[in-house]
Amino acid sequence: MPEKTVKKKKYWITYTLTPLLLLLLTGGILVLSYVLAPTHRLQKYLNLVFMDNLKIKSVNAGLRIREQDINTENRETGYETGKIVYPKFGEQCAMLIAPSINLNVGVYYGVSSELLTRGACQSTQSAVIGEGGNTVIDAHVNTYFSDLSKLKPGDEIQLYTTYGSFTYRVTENITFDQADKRYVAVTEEEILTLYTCQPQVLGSSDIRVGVRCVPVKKQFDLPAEE
Amino acid sequence: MKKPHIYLISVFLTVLLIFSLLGTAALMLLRFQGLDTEKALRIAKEQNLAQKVHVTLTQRFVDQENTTGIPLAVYEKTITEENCDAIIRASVRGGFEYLNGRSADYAAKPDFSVLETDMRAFLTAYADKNGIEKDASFELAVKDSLNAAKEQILDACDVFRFRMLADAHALQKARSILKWSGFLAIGAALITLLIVLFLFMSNHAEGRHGFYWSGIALLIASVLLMVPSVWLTKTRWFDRFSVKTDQVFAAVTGYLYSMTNAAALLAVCGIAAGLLMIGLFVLLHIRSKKAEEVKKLKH
Repeated sequence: MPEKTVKKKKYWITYTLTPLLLLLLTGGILVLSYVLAPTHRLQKYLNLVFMDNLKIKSVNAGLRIREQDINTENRETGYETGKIVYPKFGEQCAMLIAPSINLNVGVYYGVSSELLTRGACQSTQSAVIGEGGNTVIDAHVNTYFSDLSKLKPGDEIQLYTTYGSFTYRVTENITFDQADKRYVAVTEEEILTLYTCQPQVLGSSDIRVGVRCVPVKKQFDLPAEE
Repeated sequence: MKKPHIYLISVFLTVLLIFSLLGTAALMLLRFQGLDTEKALRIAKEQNLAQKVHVTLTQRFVDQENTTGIPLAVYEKTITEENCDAIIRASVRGGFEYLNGRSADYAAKPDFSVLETDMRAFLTAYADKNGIEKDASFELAVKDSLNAAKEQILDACDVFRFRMLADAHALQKARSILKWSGFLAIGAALITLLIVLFLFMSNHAEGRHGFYWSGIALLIASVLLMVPSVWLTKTRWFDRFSVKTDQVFAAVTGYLYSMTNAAALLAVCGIAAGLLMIGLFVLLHIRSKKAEEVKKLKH
């Protein structure tokens, strides 16, 4: 092959390969910068605005309510620490039973007007049941939590989930303003907080009433994964 | 291409050009699509947000009836689709004008006089019927009920969550940067032109190579813009956001899809321009080779 033809071929290879190499290089830099970018601050603002972490769900958007068959019989055996099944927004995550006030209600993960018509709602900002921390559950006073203020210290409360059963004891009755986040804030110790609106005939109420409970027994169905 | 140092300089400048093109495209999209008040209002209309807000508020006030004692009828005249649409438009306009630096306040201030009249009429009738004294505590209850209702209506109509962003001081921070977005876009475009100029200068011996390098930079930048845009649209990626409120979900995802569509359209234009420049390079290359051959034949 004459030298001129070889040179020509070499030039055309350079002309063709250079864009591909540049595409790989710049694409790689962009991917790397996306991975290393400090997106947690943006995430913080998005959480504040949308209040639900922008969690990605498996299928389509919107509220997908899912009811579950939850075993409310007392487990004879179980583990003190165990595997937690993290619920999705709109999913029934537990059955709440308070024998002293004849309360037996489904608990949904997330708070929305539609979910509140179906049962009690667990705030997504609070700890998942059995995880440790403050688990916050609320419901309407005119429906499921109408007798919540009748709970007294010492009363027992059961939470049955798909991964275990949890027994709590009421330690105090609480009353707080809607703007006061003291009782719904994250805590180190494991607590269950139940609250509802204070009934008010004339006008809407900013006062919340409820109870705080401490765990007395935990029974996980499966041991924690190592 | 014959001299390695010119080739390396050109590669370096092309990488810079790709990033500056991407930056310019992002800033242009932000300025002319993302921060355009009229486009945001169009999204609100397309997504039928007024109807969604009307449904949400109706549901909310029905839910609250047993707690507050105030029936839906009190709110009905205020939360019609037309009124909701007007409040949404005021809220969207206020937020975007504020972000653009054209207004000092983001908050919408709708007229709630009908709600005020209906609320007072209902609570007065209720007090008369139940023998409740219309004293200072009654007035406070009227005021509280009215404020709570106003808050809920404004909150439902704030489809882009400007109020919550402002409470988190994020809106103010965003404004301090975004109000300069026009200047930033012009600055980025000037930098891009400057890099193109450097490319042509470094290839001055064979000017047509300037078209080659600029063309592939445009092509690559457009492909880098096109791939994620098409992927986000085709997989309906934003539909996976679990934003709880229907109207907020529709507004946010509608806005993001309109941004991705605009980015894809810009990328298509970029690809066309890039191919045109490479075509020009090939044409000039062939002409120069022919001229060289004619020259050689003459000799």
